[in-house]
Amino acid sequence: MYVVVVGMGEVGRHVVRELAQDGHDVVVIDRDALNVAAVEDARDVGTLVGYGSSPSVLRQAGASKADLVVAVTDDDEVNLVAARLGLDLGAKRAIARVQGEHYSTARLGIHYDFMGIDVVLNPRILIAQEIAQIARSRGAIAVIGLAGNRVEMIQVELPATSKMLHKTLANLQLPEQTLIAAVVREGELFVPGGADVLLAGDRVHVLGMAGRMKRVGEQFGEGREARRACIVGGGVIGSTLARILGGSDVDIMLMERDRAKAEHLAEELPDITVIHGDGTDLAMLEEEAVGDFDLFAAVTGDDEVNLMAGLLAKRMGVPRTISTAKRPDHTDIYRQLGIDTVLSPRTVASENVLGFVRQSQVQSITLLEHGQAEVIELLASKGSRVTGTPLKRLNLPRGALLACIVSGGEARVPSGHDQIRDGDLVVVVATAAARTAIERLFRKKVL
Amino acid sequence: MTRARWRFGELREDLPQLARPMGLVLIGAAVAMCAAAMVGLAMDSPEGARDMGISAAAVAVLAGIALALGRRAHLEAISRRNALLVVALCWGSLCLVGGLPFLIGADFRVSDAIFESTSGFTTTGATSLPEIEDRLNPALHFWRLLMHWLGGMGIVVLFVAILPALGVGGKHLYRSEVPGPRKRGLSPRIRESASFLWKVYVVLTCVEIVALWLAGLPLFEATTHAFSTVATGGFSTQNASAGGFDLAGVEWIITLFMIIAGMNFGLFHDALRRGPAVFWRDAQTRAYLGILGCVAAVIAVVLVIDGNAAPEAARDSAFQTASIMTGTGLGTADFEEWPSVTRMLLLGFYFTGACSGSTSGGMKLSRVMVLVKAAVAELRRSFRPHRVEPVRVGRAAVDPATLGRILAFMGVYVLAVGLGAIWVALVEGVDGTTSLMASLACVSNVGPGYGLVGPTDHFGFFSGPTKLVLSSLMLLGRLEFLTILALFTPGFWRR
Repeated sequence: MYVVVVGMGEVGRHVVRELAQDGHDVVVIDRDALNVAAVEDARDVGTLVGYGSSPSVLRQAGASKADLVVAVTDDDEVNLVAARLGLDLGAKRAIARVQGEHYSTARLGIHYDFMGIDVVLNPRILIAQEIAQIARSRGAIAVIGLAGNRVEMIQVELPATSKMLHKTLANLQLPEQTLIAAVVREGELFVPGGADVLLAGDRVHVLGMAGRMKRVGEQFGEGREARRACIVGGGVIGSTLARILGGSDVDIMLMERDRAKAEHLAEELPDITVIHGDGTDLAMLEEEAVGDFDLFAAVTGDDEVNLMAGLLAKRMGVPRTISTAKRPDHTDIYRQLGIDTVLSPRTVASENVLGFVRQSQVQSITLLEHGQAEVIELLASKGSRVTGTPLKRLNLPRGALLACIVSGGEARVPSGHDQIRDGDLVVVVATAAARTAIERLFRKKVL
Repeated sequence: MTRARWRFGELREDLPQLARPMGLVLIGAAVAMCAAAMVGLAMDSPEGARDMGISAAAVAVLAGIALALGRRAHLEAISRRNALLVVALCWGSLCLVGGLPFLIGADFRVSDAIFESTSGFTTTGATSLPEIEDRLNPALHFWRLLMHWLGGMGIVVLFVAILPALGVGGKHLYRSEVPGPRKRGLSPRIRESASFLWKVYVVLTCVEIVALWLAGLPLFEATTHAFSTVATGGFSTQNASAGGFDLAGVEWIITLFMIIAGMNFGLFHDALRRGPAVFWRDAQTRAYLGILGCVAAVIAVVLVIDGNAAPEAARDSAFQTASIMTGTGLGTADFEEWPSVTRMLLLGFYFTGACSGSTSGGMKLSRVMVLVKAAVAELRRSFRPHRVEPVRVGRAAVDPATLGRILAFMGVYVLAVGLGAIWVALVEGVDGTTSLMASLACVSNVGPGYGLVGPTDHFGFFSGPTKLVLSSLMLLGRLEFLTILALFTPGFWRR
């Protein structure tokens, strides 16, 4: 596939690395010669210095024969123009990232066919939606919706007091139609078997039917649904989150440092409490009794503020703290310091872009633990190897798990006797090593 | 006092990564030797086939050892530093094993064999043999010319083109071998660029073989001379080089293909998409064809005034000009007997070479053009210091960093030629012209020089050490210094 990537920021670089590794023809455009030189030196891709929204630059980059144009500069308008122009020049598909709120609404983090551009995604809104899902779950530190939200995958961290410790998975009493898809122990992810045992401090990814996940959260953690949420930062993420959660019956307090912005938010969102103040101001946090909240989300544009505010809230006794970080490479350190969930708009953006690029039989992809494993939704095409054979006779590669089958709108967690039929959507959890083998299973048999 | 820490220890960890490409290249050499053995059989020369066969077996054993050492290598992750080492090692080992058939089959001294093989792979075309026709059997002849052909486009580039998924490591390898200052890929992925260049190269070779065959050469001579031309090498199977056939048509065909081989191969890529006008729009190609045409015309006129018939004068002048400018070094006439002004005109070509992106030798025209333009700009600044004027080649401005690199390159070039000339003069005690031209003809990969190393002479009378020095000059010139010289800077080995 021939891909033109405009903008070599965090997202651009990550997308380019993955695409080049997958063996695609990639041409990158950035207006900073130093950025371009760095990419040129490190990846096997073509490069161009210039403005990504300029027709001549795009033409030079080969947009006319491109299969995909990815526009991920810091400037929303440049991205939209570059994607649109790319399509006009003859590119087959285009994807653009926007970060402001004026191109998106709270419900729409991904906009299909906006100005004719195939996908316009706003990672900040996607993050707000993800935080809202976490808030509604019980005790989960991450929630991912799969197969059109029929299936959910939650991530819980096991406390030392959990009832689930020191038993083999085969002996665990999990709710029906749920299963443990992956376990992260000391940063290493593995897909567990029936003989594995859970330990305190493990982060466990549990997958199951959307309706049953609340009980799972209860069973694994000791959490409850958030009733009171404190949000620090009234930017795109903060205000969107307030809008989404404010619609349900959650008490929301939003802190914003900028007076004018705070007043504007208070005017616009009458149901929530808006506080004018700094989220790292300890005296103020105590005055507002932040420790009584059961969810704390620090979502300003400043990583240091988010980290500090999150740590303060944790110390004051908030059970679940969430921080956003611009630099995705720092997320592990945040976790070590005690923040429960760290989300990065950059990661969300690059995952979505890559998911879009990789879709063939693949319907969507979610990366776990920096890509150590992937949750893939695959369509079982007619005549592929997976169909018509009981699962236990399928010879799945090590590190892969057929977690869920969606057949005719009905989702189920399969047993060994189940069979996949033509046209089923299958949710697969696979480590990076097992992925190609899995995709091969879903391809049509040759001969 | 802090003690410098050396990186030799890392060599052990890097060994697989260094050994594997070397093994692959050696396998390539063994396969090529087998091909030469086949040719020997076909040409009714069983002893030639035997010599090549034994060499191929020996090289295959070495390749096996290298591959065994490198069986756990991740070539994808090859660093820029290791890419330099790999290319240097590959070329070094090729130049050594390439001489094996001559040792086995033609009683060469070791220094002669290395000289011949280095001259072959670097497409220099200087030989240490006075009489080649009878001294070598057909298989050995074929091997000499095959070395040219393999070295012309570059054997590491060939592997980048063939091996899948070298990734950015392939890019580093490619850059360490492909000559010329501009190395922007033709397509986003380096593997495709490399394979395109090789395809053009193969097609050109085949077309020339057919053309020469139609013009009356036997298939063997047509093939070997096509190898020599397209690689801008200079070896021939004849004592009197390309002039030995005495066929005007053959000489014109070889002239034409030498000129084509001196053009930027990357332009063929653009020409396929946007039509042949791209050649004319390219400043370097314009300069190349213009200078070549003018100098050939002037020399032809000088030859006619000197009393030669016009058709021969035009043919010899065009052939010789193209041959020296592209660094081929094939000959149809002894320009040592021409008026001396012709030699002075040709002397410049020893330095400039032809276009960057071609198989030719020398500094490459694009570099010379940048320097000339920079000099003119500097002149203008001397009386109008506030004028802002970028140095341009074609329409694109050259940034100061590139200019600096080109200056450094030229400096090293001249220094290498000078030191080489001093060595030859000191050790061999020959006259100034001979010493200078022996060194220059080797560094610029042309082959024949002036004086005792002229077009009808050979390098055979030099002592063994001098031949090794000249061989290393050829290698330096072919890999454009950086790749080899970097290995001799202490910083390369220091942590």
